[in-house]
Amino acid sequence: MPLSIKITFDLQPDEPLSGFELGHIEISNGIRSWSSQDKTPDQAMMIFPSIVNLLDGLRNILQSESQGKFIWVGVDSSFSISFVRGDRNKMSVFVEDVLAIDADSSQIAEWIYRPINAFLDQHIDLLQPNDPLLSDLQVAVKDFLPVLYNLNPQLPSEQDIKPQKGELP
Amino acid sequence: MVKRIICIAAILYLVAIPLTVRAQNEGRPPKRGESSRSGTAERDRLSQDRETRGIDARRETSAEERVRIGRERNSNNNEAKADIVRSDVDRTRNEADRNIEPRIEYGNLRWGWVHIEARHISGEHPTKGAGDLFTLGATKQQLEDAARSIVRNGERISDRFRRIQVFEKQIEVNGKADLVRVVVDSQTNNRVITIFPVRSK
Repeated sequence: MPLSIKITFDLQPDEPLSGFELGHIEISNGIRSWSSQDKTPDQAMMIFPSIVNLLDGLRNILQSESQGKFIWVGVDSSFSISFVRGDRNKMSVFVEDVLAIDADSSQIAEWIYRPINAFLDQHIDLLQPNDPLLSDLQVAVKDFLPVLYNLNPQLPSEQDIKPQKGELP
Repeated sequence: MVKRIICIAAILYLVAIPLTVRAQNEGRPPKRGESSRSGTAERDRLSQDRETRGIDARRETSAEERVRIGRERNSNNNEAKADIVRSDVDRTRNEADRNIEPRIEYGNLRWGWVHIEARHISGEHPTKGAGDLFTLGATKQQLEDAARSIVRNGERISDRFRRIQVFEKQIEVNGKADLVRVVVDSQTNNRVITIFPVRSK
Protein backbone atom coordinates (compact mmCIF):
# COMPACT_ATOMS: atom_id res chain seq x y z
CA MET A 1 0.00 0.00 0.00
CA PRO A 2 1.55 3.32 -0.95
CA LEU A 3 1.92 6.25 1.38
CA SER A 4 -0.43 9.10 0.58
CA ILE A 5 -0.38 12.70 1.62
CA LYS A 6 -3.18 15.22 1.61
CA ILE A 7 -2.61 18.93 2.10
CA THR A 8 -5.47 21.26 2.98
CA PHE A 9 -6.02 24.82 4.02
CA ASP A 10 -8.88 27.28 4.26
CA LEU A 11 -8.74 29.86 1.53
CA GLN A 12 -10.15 33.21 2.55
CA PRO A 13 -12.31 34.36 -0.37
CA ASP A 14 -11.68 38.06 0.18
CA GLU A 15 -7.92 37.88 0.77
CA PRO A 16 -5.04 36.90 -1.51
CA LEU A 17 -3.24 33.69 -0.67
CA SER A 18 -0.17 34.21 1.51
CA GLY A 19 2.94 32.05 1.61
CA PHE A 20 2.46 31.88 5.39
CA GLU A 21 -1.08 30.50 5.22
CA LEU A 22 -1.89 27.94 7.90
CA GLY A 23 -3.17 24.54 6.85
CA HIS A 24 -2.99 20.84 7.62
CA ILE A 25 -1.28 17.71 6.40
CA GLU A 26 -2.73 14.23 6.52
CA ILE A 27 -0.59 11.19 5.88
CA SER A 28 -1.97 7.71 5.35
CA ASN A 29 -0.55 4.23 4.79
CA GLY A 30 -3.84 2.76 3.61
CA ILE A 31 -4.62 1.26 6.98
CA ARG A 32 -4.28 4.20 9.27
CA SER A 33 -3.99 7.92 8.79
CA TRP A 34 -2.42 10.67 10.84
CA SER A 35 -3.37 14.30 10.56
CA SER A 36 -2.28 17.59 12.05
CA GLN A 37 -5.97 18.51 12.17
CA ASP A 38 -8.27 18.16 15.19
CA LYS A 39 -5.49 18.27 17.73
CA THR A 40 -5.27 20.14 20.99
CA PRO A 41 -3.41 22.42 20.96
CA ASP A 42 -4.05 23.11 17.29
CA GLN A 43 -1.25 21.85 15.05
CA ALA A 44 -1.96 23.84 11.89
CA MET A 45 1.25 24.66 10.05
CA MET A 46 2.47 27.21 7.54
CA ILE A 47 1.99 24.94 4.56
CA PHE A 48 4.37 26.45 2.01
CA PRO A 49 7.50 26.77 4.17
CA SER A 50 6.70 23.32 5.59
CA ILE A 51 6.72 21.90 2.05
CA VAL A 52 10.06 23.56 1.32
CA ASN A 53 11.57 22.06 4.46
CA LEU A 54 10.12 18.62 3.71
CA LEU A 55 11.51 18.50 0.17
CA ASP A 56 14.91 19.85 1.23
CA GLY A 57 15.21 17.56 4.24
CA LEU A 58 14.15 14.49 2.32
CA ARG A 59 16.53 15.36 -0.50
CA ASN A 60 19.39 15.67 1.98
CA ILE A 61 18.80 12.29 3.59
CA LEU A 62 18.36 10.62 0.18
CA GLN A 63 21.62 12.09 -1.09
CA SER A 64 23.67 11.75 2.05
CA GLU A 65 25.73 8.67 2.81
CA SER A 66 26.06 9.50 6.48
CA GLN A 67 22.74 11.01 7.53
CA GLY A 68 20.54 8.29 8.95
CA LYS A 69 17.52 10.24 10.13
CA PHE A 70 15.51 13.30 9.22
CA ILE A 71 12.78 14.64 11.46
CA TRP A 72 10.46 17.00 9.66
CA VAL A 73 8.39 19.35 11.81
CA GLY A 74 5.67 21.54 10.31
CA VAL A 75 6.48 25.24 10.48
CA ASP A 76 4.52 26.86 13.35
CA SER A 77 3.51 23.43 14.56
CA SER A 78 4.81 20.40 16.45
CA PHE A 79 3.38 17.86 14.02
CA SER A 80 6.30 15.77 12.86
CA ILE A 81 7.25 12.95 10.52
CA SER A 82 10.51 11.02 10.88
CA PHE A 83 12.38 9.40 8.01
CA VAL A 84 14.91 6.74 9.01
CA ARG A 85 17.23 5.07 6.54
CA GLY A 86 17.57 1.33 6.68
CA ASP A 87 19.66 -1.22 4.81
CA ARG A 88 19.67 -1.63 1.03
CA ASN A 89 17.98 1.67 0.16
CA LYS A 90 15.12 0.98 2.54
CA MET A 91 13.54 3.77 4.50
CA SER A 92 11.09 3.81 7.40
CA VAL A 93 8.57 6.58 7.95
CA PHE A 94 7.30 7.24 11.45
CA VAL A 95 4.41 9.57 12.29
CA GLU A 96 3.95 10.47 15.93
CA ASP A 97 6.43 7.71 16.82
CA VAL A 98 4.35 5.05 15.03
CA LEU A 99 5.77 3.21 12.02
CA ALA A 100 3.70 4.26 9.04
CA ILE A 101 5.60 2.45 6.31
CA ASP A 102 8.79 0.64 5.47
CA ALA A 103 9.67 0.82 1.77
CA ASP A 104 12.32 1.61 -0.83
CA SER A 105 13.69 5.14 -0.62
CA SER A 106 12.81 5.64 -4.26
CA GLN A 107 9.16 4.85 -3.61
CA ILE A 108 8.97 7.09 -0.57
CA ALA A 109 10.52 9.93 -2.54
CA GLU A 110 7.88 9.52 -5.21
CA TRP A 111 4.99 9.15 -2.74
CA ILE A 112 6.02 12.37 -1.02
CA TYR A 113 6.76 14.33 -4.16
CA ARG A 114 3.69 13.54 -6.28
CA PRO A 115 0.98 14.95 -3.95
CA ILE A 116 3.15 17.96 -3.14
CA ASN A 117 3.63 18.65 -6.82
CA ALA A 118 -0.10 18.29 -7.46
CA PHE A 119 -0.84 20.68 -4.60
CA LEU A 120 1.65 23.24 -5.90
CA ASP A 121 0.23 22.93 -9.40
CA GLN A 122 -3.09 24.03 -7.99
CA HIS A 123 -1.94 26.76 -5.64
CA ILE A 124 1.43 28.23 -6.56
CA ASP A 125 -0.10 30.54 -9.13
CA LEU A 126 -2.35 31.98 -6.45
CA LEU A 127 0.65 33.38 -4.57
CA GLN A 128 1.52 37.00 -5.20
CA PRO A 129 4.52 37.46 -7.52
CA ASN A 130 6.50 39.05 -4.68
CA ASP A 131 5.60 36.41 -2.09
CA PRO A 132 8.70 35.41 -0.07
CA LEU A 133 7.89 31.72 -0.52
CA LEU A 134 7.61 31.67 -4.28
CA SER A 135 11.29 31.34 -5.13
CA ASP A 136 11.96 28.90 -2.27
CA LEU A 137 9.18 26.60 -3.50
CA GLN A 138 10.39 26.69 -7.09
CA VAL A 139 14.01 26.02 -6.14
CA ALA A 140 13.11 23.29 -3.64
CA VAL A 141 11.15 21.42 -6.35
CA LYS A 142 13.89 22.00 -8.89
CA ASP A 143 16.51 20.65 -6.49
CA PHE A 144 14.41 17.63 -5.56
CA LEU A 145 13.65 16.44 -9.08
CA PRO A 146 17.16 15.20 -9.99
CA VAL A 147 17.22 13.11 -6.81
CA LEU A 148 13.78 11.70 -7.59
CA TYR A 149 14.69 10.79 -11.17
CA ASN A 150 18.05 9.42 -10.10
CA LEU A 151 16.27 7.04 -7.71
CA ASN A 152 13.47 6.31 -10.20
CA PRO A 153 15.02 6.28 -13.68
CA GLN A 154 11.89 4.65 -15.06
CA LEU A 155 9.70 7.63 -14.15
CA PRO A 156 8.51 9.74 -17.06
CA SER A 157 9.88 13.25 -16.71
CA GLU A 158 7.67 16.19 -15.88
CA GLN A 159 7.91 17.36 -19.46
CA ASP A 160 6.58 14.01 -20.64
CA ILE A 161 3.64 14.21 -18.26
CA LYS A 162 2.68 17.85 -18.63
CA PRO A 163 1.60 19.33 -21.94
CA GLN A 164 3.90 22.07 -23.10
CA LYS A 165 2.59 25.60 -23.34
CA GLY A 166 0.49 26.00 -26.42
CA GLU A 167 -0.24 22.28 -26.67
CA LEU A 168 -3.60 20.78 -26.03
CA PRO A 169 -3.71 18.55 -22.96
CA MET B 1 113.28 65.39 -12.39
CA VAL B 2 111.79 62.06 -11.47
CA LYS B 3 110.14 63.60 -8.44
CA ARG B 4 108.59 66.32 -10.62
CA ILE B 5 107.18 63.73 -13.05
CA ILE B 6 105.70 61.72 -10.18
CA CYS B 7 104.12 64.86 -8.72
CA ILE B 8 102.52 65.82 -12.06
CA ALA B 9 101.23 62.27 -12.54
CA ALA B 10 99.74 62.24 -9.06
CA ILE B 11 98.01 65.59 -9.64
CA LEU B 12 96.65 64.44 -13.00
CA TYR B 13 95.43 61.21 -11.40
CA LEU B 14 93.69 63.03 -8.58
CA VAL B 15 91.99 65.40 -11.01
CA ALA B 16 91.09 62.80 -13.65
CA ILE B 17 89.34 60.27 -11.39
CA PRO B 18 86.57 62.56 -10.09
CA LEU B 19 85.99 63.84 -13.64
CA THR B 20 85.62 60.27 -14.96
CA VAL B 21 83.22 59.30 -12.20
CA ARG B 22 81.19 62.45 -12.75
CA ALA B 23 81.05 61.77 -16.50
CA GLN B 24 79.78 58.24 -15.83
CA ASN B 25 77.16 59.48 -13.39
CA GLU B 26 75.73 61.94 -15.91
CA GLY B 27 74.27 59.03 -17.89
CA ARG B 28 72.14 57.44 -15.13
CA PRO B 29 69.73 58.57 -12.48
CA PRO B 30 71.10 58.48 -8.98
CA LYS B 31 70.12 55.53 -6.90
CA ARG B 32 67.47 56.06 -4.23
CA GLY B 33 69.13 57.64 -1.22
CA GLU B 34 72.31 58.35 -3.18
CA SER B 35 73.40 61.94 -2.75
CA SER B 36 74.44 63.10 -6.09
CA ARG B 37 77.01 65.78 -6.18
CA SER B 38 75.19 67.60 -8.95
CA GLY B 39 71.67 66.20 -8.14
CA THR B 40 69.03 68.30 -6.45
CA ALA B 41 66.00 67.29 -4.37
CA GLU B 42 63.83 67.79 -7.46
CA ARG B 43 65.94 65.38 -9.44
CA ASP B 44 65.68 62.80 -6.67
CA ARG B 45 61.92 63.21 -6.62
CA LEU B 46 61.62 62.83 -10.39
CA SER B 47 63.83 59.81 -10.26
CA GLN B 48 61.73 58.22 -7.53
CA ASP B 49 58.61 58.99 -9.55
CA ARG B 50 60.05 57.14 -12.49
CA GLU B 51 60.84 54.22 -10.27
CA THR B 52 57.32 54.20 -8.79
CA ARG B 53 55.75 54.37 -12.24
CA GLY B 54 57.86 51.40 -13.15
CA ILE B 55 56.48 49.39 -10.22
CA ASP B 56 52.91 50.44 -11.08
CA ALA B 57 53.43 49.45 -14.67
CA ARG B 58 54.64 46.04 -13.53
CA ARG B 59 51.55 45.74 -11.28
CA GLU B 60 49.27 46.71 -14.17
CA THR B 61 50.93 44.19 -16.37
CA SER B 62 50.56 41.42 -13.88
CA ALA B 63 46.90 42.33 -13.26
CA GLU B 64 46.26 42.29 -17.00
CA GLU B 65 48.04 39.00 -17.19
CA ARG B 66 45.84 37.59 -14.47
CA VAL B 67 42.70 38.78 -16.27
CA ARG B 68 43.96 37.26 -19.51
CA ILE B 69 44.69 33.94 -17.82
CA GLY B 70 41.31 34.04 -16.14
CA ARG B 71 39.57 34.69 -19.45
CA GLU B 72 41.43 31.85 -21.05
CA ARG B 73 40.44 29.55 -18.22
CA ASN B 74 36.83 30.68 -18.42
CA SER B 75 36.73 30.11 -22.12
CA ASN B 76 37.91 26.58 -21.48
CA ASN B 77 35.10 25.95 -19.00
CA ASN B 78 31.98 24.37 -20.34
CA GLU B 79 28.53 25.89 -20.00
CA ALA B 80 27.52 23.58 -17.20
CA LYS B 81 30.36 24.76 -15.02
CA ALA B 82 29.42 28.37 -15.70
CA ASP B 83 25.87 27.57 -14.70
CA ILE B 84 27.06 26.08 -11.44
CA VAL B 85 29.08 29.22 -10.71
CA ARG B 86 26.13 31.47 -11.52
CA SER B 87 23.87 29.31 -9.42
CA ASP B 88 26.31 29.48 -6.49
CA VAL B 89 26.46 33.25 -6.76
CA ASP B 90 22.68 33.47 -6.65
CA ARG B 91 22.54 31.08 -3.76
CA THR B 92 25.18 32.92 -1.78
CA ARG B 93 23.19 36.09 -2.21
CA ASN B 94 20.27 34.41 -0.51
CA GLU B 95 22.18 32.91 2.33
CA ALA B 96 20.89 34.12 5.69
CA ASP B 97 23.32 36.13 7.74
CA ARG B 98 23.31 34.91 11.33
CA ASN B 99 24.88 38.17 12.45
CA ILE B 100 21.89 40.24 11.43
CA GLU B 101 19.78 40.52 14.54
CA PRO B 102 16.24 39.28 13.93
CA ARG B 103 13.42 41.65 14.81
CA ILE B 104 9.75 41.09 15.44
CA GLU B 105 7.62 43.50 13.42
CA TYR B 106 3.95 44.13 14.11
CA GLY B 107 2.81 42.05 11.10
CA ASN B 108 -0.64 40.50 10.89
CA LEU B 109 -2.39 37.23 11.74
CA ARG B 110 -0.13 35.36 9.32
CA TRP B 111 3.28 36.58 10.48
CA GLY B 112 5.03 38.83 13.00
CA TRP B 113 3.97 39.89 16.47
CA VAL B 114 0.21 39.75 15.82
CA HIS B 115 0.53 36.14 14.66
CA ILE B 116 2.92 35.12 17.45
CA GLU B 117 0.80 36.70 20.17
CA ALA B 118 -2.45 35.20 18.90
CA ARG B 119 -1.07 31.77 18.11
CA HIS B 120 1.64 31.17 20.71
CA ILE B 121 1.03 33.47 23.71
CA SER B 122 -2.64 34.29 24.28
CA GLY B 123 -3.92 31.52 22.03
CA GLU B 124 -6.71 33.75 20.77
CA HIS B 125 -6.14 33.32 17.05
CA PRO B 126 -9.58 34.04 15.54
CA THR B 127 -9.62 31.18 13.01
CA LYS B 128 -7.13 28.59 14.26
CA GLY B 129 -7.12 29.11 18.02
CA ALA B 130 -4.15 28.27 20.18
CA GLY B 131 -1.10 26.49 18.91
CA ASP B 132 1.70 25.37 21.22
CA LEU B 133 2.00 28.20 23.74
CA PHE B 134 4.82 29.95 25.51
CA THR B 135 4.13 30.67 29.17
CA LEU B 136 1.45 33.31 29.56
CA GLY B 137 2.87 36.80 29.78
CA ALA B 138 5.88 36.19 27.53
CA THR B 139 6.80 39.57 26.09
CA LYS B 140 7.85 40.67 22.64
CA GLN B 141 11.25 41.63 24.08
CA GLN B 142 11.75 38.15 25.56
CA LEU B 143 10.88 36.52 22.26
CA GLU B 144 13.09 38.90 20.32
CA ASP B 145 15.99 38.09 22.66
CA ALA B 146 15.29 34.38 22.20
CA ALA B 147 15.11 34.79 18.42
CA ARG B 148 18.47 36.57 18.44
CA SER B 149 20.11 33.78 20.42
CA ILE B 150 18.54 31.04 18.28
CA VAL B 151 19.54 32.62 14.98
CA ARG B 152 23.08 33.25 16.16
CA ASN B 153 23.79 30.00 18.01
CA GLY B 154 21.02 27.55 17.20
CA GLU B 155 20.89 24.72 14.69
CA ARG B 156 19.93 25.68 11.16
CA ILE B 157 17.00 23.48 10.10
CA SER B 158 16.30 24.84 6.63
CA ASP B 159 18.51 24.60 3.57
CA ARG B 160 21.01 27.41 4.08
CA PHE B 161 20.31 28.91 0.66
CA ARG B 162 16.59 29.41 1.10
CA ARG B 163 15.13 32.84 1.63
CA ILE B 164 12.98 31.65 4.53
CA GLN B 165 15.28 30.28 7.19
CA VAL B 166 14.43 28.10 10.18
CA PHE B 167 16.65 27.82 13.26
CA GLU B 168 16.17 25.78 16.42
CA LYS B 169 17.57 25.80 19.92
CA GLN B 170 16.78 24.61 23.42
CA ILE B 171 16.21 27.85 25.28
CA GLU B 172 14.38 29.32 28.27
CA VAL B 173 11.64 31.82 27.48
CA ASN B 174 9.79 33.55 30.33
CA GLY B 175 10.92 30.94 32.83
CA LYS B 176 10.22 27.81 30.77
CA ALA B 177 12.82 25.85 28.85
CA ASP B 178 11.65 24.63 25.46
CA LEU B 179 12.92 23.53 22.11
CA VAL B 180 12.11 26.71 20.20
CA ARG B 181 12.09 27.32 16.46
CA VAL B 182 12.30 30.70 14.83
CA VAL B 183 11.48 31.40 11.18
CA VAL B 184 13.02 34.48 9.57
CA ASP B 185 12.93 36.12 6.17
CA SER B 186 16.59 36.51 5.27
CA GLN B 187 15.88 38.98 2.48
CA THR B 188 14.25 41.47 4.82
CA ASN B 189 17.10 41.49 7.33
CA ASN B 190 15.85 38.53 9.33
CA ARG B 191 12.33 39.76 9.90
CA VAL B 192 10.74 37.22 12.24
CA ILE B 193 7.84 35.38 10.62
CA THR B 194 7.08 33.23 13.64
CA ILE B 195 8.65 31.79 16.76
CA PHE B 196 7.15 28.77 18.49
CA PRO B 197 7.91 25.94 20.91
CA VAL B 198 8.25 22.45 19.43
CA ARG B 199 6.77 19.96 21.84
CA SER B 200 6.69 16.74 19.83
CA LYS B 201 10.30 16.22 18.82
